[in-house]
Amino acid sequence: MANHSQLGFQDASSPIMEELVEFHDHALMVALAICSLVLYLLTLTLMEKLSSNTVDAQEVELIWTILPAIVLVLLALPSLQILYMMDEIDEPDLTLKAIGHQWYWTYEYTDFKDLSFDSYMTPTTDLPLGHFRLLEVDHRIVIPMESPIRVIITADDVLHSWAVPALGVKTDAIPGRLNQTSFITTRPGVFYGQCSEICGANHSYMPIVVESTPLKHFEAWSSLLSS
Amino acid sequence: MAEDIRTKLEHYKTAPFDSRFPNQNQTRNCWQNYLDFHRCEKAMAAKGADATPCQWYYRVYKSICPTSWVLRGVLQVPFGSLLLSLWCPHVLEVLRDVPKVSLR
Repeated sequence: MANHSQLGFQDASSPIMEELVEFHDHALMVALAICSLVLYLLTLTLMEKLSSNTVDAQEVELIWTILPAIVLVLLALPSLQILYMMDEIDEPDLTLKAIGHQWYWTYEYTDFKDLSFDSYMTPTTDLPLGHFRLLEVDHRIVIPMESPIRVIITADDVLHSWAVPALGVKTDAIPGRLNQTSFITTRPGVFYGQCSEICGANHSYMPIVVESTPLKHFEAWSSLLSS
Repeated sequence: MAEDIRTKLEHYKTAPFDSRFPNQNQTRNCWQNYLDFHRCEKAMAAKGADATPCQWYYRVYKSICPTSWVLRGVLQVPFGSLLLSLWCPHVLEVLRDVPKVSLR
C-alpha cells in the first residue's frame, strides 16, 4: 500500500508493473529534458540574447521539426512495447471473478468447487492495532504466487472499477458486461487497492486486498473455505 | 476423440484462451459456452449418445459466467437476452435452444 505523503508508485509486484515503472522513469526524463530546454531558451529570450534579423530560418526550422519527431519516437517505442506485452496470451492457471456491488465486492472461484464470498471493508472502529485504515477487508482474495491469473470483472448495480496499483491492474466493472484482465505476482505478499469508479456514498469504502501465497497455502485456504 | 475429451476434462485447470474472443470483453464467451452446453446436451440426448463431451462447455461457462447470472436466469429470460443483445447480437433467435432449467 502507499505510505502517507507518498508521491511515487508503489513497489511493482508484477512484471507489467515493473515495465510501467521503468517507462514512467524514462518518460519523466524526456519531460525533464524538454522543460530544461524550454526554460533555458526562455531565459535567453528574456535576457535579450536571442535576436535575429534573418528572414531565412531554414536551419532552425529543421532542428525544431526533427527534434520533436525524435522525442515522439523515444516515447512511442517503449509505450507500444508495453502495450503489446500486456496483450500477450498467457494461459491462466486460475480464473477469479470479481463482482462489484454497492458497496462491497463478491469473489468467485468456480473452476472446481463453487467457492464464493463477499469482501467488506473492516470498519475503523473494528480495526486491530497496526492494520491499515480504509484498506483492510474481512475476506481477502488469496491467489497462488507466480501463476498467471485471469480476473473477470463485472458489477451488479452501478459502475465500479477493480484496481490494484502494485500489480498494475485497473479494470472497469460494468453491469451486463464481463471484462477480462490478467496478472502474475512476482512475489508473495499482500496488495491493496480501492474502487476506482464513483459508485455512490461509500465508494471510498470498498477496498480490494489480494494475498499472494505459495501454491500449497492457496490450496489449504481454498480447501478450508469450500469445506 | 472421446478419449481426448476425457483427458482434457481430467486436466482441466480453467477456461483456456479462446481465439474467438481475444479481447477484453468476455461477455460473449460466457454466453457462447452456456449456449453450446445446452445445445450439446440436447443433441446428445436426441441421438441417445454419451453427453460427457458436453461437460467441457459446462466447465468453461462455470469458470467464466458469474454464478448470479446463471442462477437468476439472466442468460435465459427475455429481459436477460435484451441485456445480452447489447453485447451479443442475434441472441433472440438462438434462445429457443436453451431450456428453462436451473443451475445443476
